[in-house]
Amino acid sequence: MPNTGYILTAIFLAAGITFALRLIPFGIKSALKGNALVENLSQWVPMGAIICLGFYVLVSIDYSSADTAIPYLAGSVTTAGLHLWRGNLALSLVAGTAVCVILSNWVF
Amino acid sequence: MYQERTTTASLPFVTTSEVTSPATATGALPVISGEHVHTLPGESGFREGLRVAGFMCLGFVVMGMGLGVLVSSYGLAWWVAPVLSAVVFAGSVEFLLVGMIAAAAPLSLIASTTLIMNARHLVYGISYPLQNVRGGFAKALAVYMLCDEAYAVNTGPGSKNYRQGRILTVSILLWVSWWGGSTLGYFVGAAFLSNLAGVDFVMTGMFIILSIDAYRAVKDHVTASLAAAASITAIILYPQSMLLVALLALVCFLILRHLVQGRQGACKNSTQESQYA
Repeated sequence: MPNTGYILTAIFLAAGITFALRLIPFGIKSALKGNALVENLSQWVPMGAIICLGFYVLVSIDYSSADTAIPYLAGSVTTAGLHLWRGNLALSLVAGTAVCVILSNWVF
Repeated sequence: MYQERTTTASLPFVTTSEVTSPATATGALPVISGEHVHTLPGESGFREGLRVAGFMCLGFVVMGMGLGVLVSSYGLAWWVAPVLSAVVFAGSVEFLLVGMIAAAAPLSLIASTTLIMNARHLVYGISYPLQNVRGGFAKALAVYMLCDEAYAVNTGPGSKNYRQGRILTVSILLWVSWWGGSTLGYFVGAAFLSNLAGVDFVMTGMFIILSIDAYRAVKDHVTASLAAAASITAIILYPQSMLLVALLALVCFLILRHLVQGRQGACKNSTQESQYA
C-alpha cells in the first residue's frame, strides 16, 4: 500500500480541485451564463465522459489470460444485460459482481 | 446523471433569449411533478428535503458500498474509504481515485483526471439557488456538497423559492448516505469478500451501469458516438494513458461540434439548460 502521506495528498488534491470547480461559477456567473460553448459542453461532457469511462473499464480487463478475461467479461455482460432489462442499479451491480467472483474463484 | 431538463425553449411565445429570469420561466409552466415537487402546505424545509432526496439516498448507500468494497479489494487501509468519500464527495471520480491511489499514480495524473471528470461542475453554479442559503458556512457547505444529484434535486423550475432547509437537507442527506455507504462497504468487503478474486469488478460494473443510465437520460447519439470515437482513438494511440487521452479527445471533439453547429446556425441543443438561475 502507498504511504499515508501520499494517499492524503492525493485525496486533498482531488477534493481541492473539485471544490474549486464547484465554487468558481458562483464568482463568474454572469460571464459564464451567456456563453454558448460553456452551455453546450455542460450538456455534452457529462454523458460523454461517463461513456469514455465505460470503455476504460472494459479496456482495463486483463486480457492476457482467459482465467481473468472470461470472469470479468461474463460479469460485464450480466451487468449490462440486467441493467438494460430491469434498470435496477443494486441488482445489476450485485449480480454482475457475483458472476465475476464465482467464475474467478471456483471455475477458472 | 439525473439532470432534469425542461423545455423552456419550446414554450409558445417564449424564446430562449427571453427566458432570463426564473419568474418568466416558471410563470409559464404548469405544476411540475417528479423530482421538482413543490412545497406541501405546512411542510418544513427539512421534511421537504427528506421527501425529495429520500429515494436517491438509497441509491447513494448502494453506490457508496460499491466504493467501500473496491477500497477493500485493493488492499488499502480501512480509513481510506471514509476519508475519501467524506473529503472528495464526487461520485464517479472516487472510483478512479481508488485505483490510481492503489497504483501510486503520479499526482499530476490524479489532478488532471479530477479536473476533466469534474469540470462539469463549472456550470452547476450558474443555476444553483445558493442565494437562498444564508451565512458563509452554510453557503460553503452547500457548494462543497454540490454533487450531480444535489444539483438535479435542488435546481429546476421553482428553485428560486427553495428554502435553505430543503437545500441543505438534500445536500447533507446525500453526503451522509454516500459516506455511510462507503464506510459500511469497506467493512462488508473486508469481512466477507477478502481473499476473493474478482471483487474489484464493482468498478467495472458501476461504470457500465452509469454509461447505460447516462445514455438513457439524454439519448444524444452524437455525443455518444464522439465519446466512442475518442475512446477508440485513445486505445489505439495511447493504451497506457487511455482514459486521460480519451477525455481530452472528447473535449476537443465536442468543441469542434460546437463550432460546426455554430457555423450552421443550428444551435437547437444549446441554451436550453441553466435558464432558471
